[in-house]
Amino acid sequence: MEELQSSIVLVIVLGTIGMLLLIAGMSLFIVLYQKRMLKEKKKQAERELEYQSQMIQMQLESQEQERKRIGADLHDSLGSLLWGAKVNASFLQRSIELKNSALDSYTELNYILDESINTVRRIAWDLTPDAFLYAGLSESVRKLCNQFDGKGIKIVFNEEGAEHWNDDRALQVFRIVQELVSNSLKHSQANLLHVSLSWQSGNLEVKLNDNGVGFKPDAGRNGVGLWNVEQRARQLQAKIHIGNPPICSGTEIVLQIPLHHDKE
Amino acid sequence: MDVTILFAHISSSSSIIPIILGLVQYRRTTPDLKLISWLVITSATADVISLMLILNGFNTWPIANIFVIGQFVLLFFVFDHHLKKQYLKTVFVILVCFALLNYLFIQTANSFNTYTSYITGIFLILLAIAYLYRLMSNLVVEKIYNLPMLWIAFGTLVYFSGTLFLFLFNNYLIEHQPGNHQYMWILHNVLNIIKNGFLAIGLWKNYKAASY
Repeated sequence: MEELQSSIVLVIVLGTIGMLLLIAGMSLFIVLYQKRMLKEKKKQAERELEYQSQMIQMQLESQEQERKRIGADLHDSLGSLLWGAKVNASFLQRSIELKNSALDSYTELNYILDESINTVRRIAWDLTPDAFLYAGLSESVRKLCNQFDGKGIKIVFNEEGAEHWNDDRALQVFRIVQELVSNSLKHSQANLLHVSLSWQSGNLEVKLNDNGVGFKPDAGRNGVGLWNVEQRARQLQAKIHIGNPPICSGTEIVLQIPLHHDKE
Repeated sequence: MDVTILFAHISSSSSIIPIILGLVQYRRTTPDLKLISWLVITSATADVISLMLILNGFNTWPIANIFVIGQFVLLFFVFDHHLKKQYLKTVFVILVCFALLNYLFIQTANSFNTYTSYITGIFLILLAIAYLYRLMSNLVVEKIYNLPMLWIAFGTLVYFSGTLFLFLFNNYLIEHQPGNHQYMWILHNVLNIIKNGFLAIGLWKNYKAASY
């Protein structure tokens, strides 16, 4: 009888230990599964981010190539045609003696052709990264400001410290400034725009502020341009802040861009 | 009331909740959980018939042995629904043939078919482990504890590991200490209650997920 009792106790003890081990195993399974799932989700998020980053890089590169192609086409085809028209107009003027209104028309035509040639040359220059490579960021931004200054808006350009930065990242920064200046001209209704570049140690701060109506996040209006700016900023690992200037009304945009480039 | 009979009653009653949960969602549930509903219904029916046979002084083994085979068939199809391996089907057919032969000719219907119980138990434990391994490899859901089949696999593991241990120990005891080891059946009923609890959780998880 005693033997039977001890056998019962043994069965219960062993059974309980076995059950506890099984329950521990099952709990461990759930914990391990959730841990693995979390790790997998993290990995997937990283993969998606990497993929997204690659897509943006490709898109921006393709945009740059397209700009270059359009620039070259403009310069080589439309530029040549305009030159041809100018040469032929000069030939006509030399061949036939023009008088009164015909002479006025010729002068007007010559002026239009000169303007057109200059405009095509400027657009082609702006679109081609080669121009940027030569000028560098600071000079390109200064040129950009000068180009629009006085055309319905006063643009003031300031620079603290100066560096010649002209690699692919610098071109991205220039494209951002180009887009932001263009946005300000088109939408802000401002008559004053400050653009400043501040070179700090390992960092470049780009600041634009105008005295216009202020920034309204309207996807229909700013969607593509702002998206481009954000994607470029992301590629540059830059911090972007869009808000109101501290004193007056208008828009203030500040970009903090890490300088990962070889100083010349 | 005899403790063994009391536990037999509790064990039979423990299938009421999974039966209700199975029937409530039967039409809109997945084939594997339909089979689980059938399993708890079969289990309850076998328990009721066994109880009636006991009360009338008849041998309950013919029914219990048939239930062991039926339970094996139903649970195999539940796991096969997820694992879908041809060689598992082949092993299954062989085991069913063996179980029937054992029932009819080797250990016969009137005594406990231990061979069938061991072999089918081990096979179902392996199927549950294979299913859990597959879950871990494929990471099918975000929150594993909301997956009904996880609880079915846990129930299978606990019940069949426990009964395998119990029956092996029972055989050892009978060999060394002949006598009536009723407490083994009490422990078996405890395991059955735990199994029904796991099945109920699985069916409840499915019901909850379908309700949202």
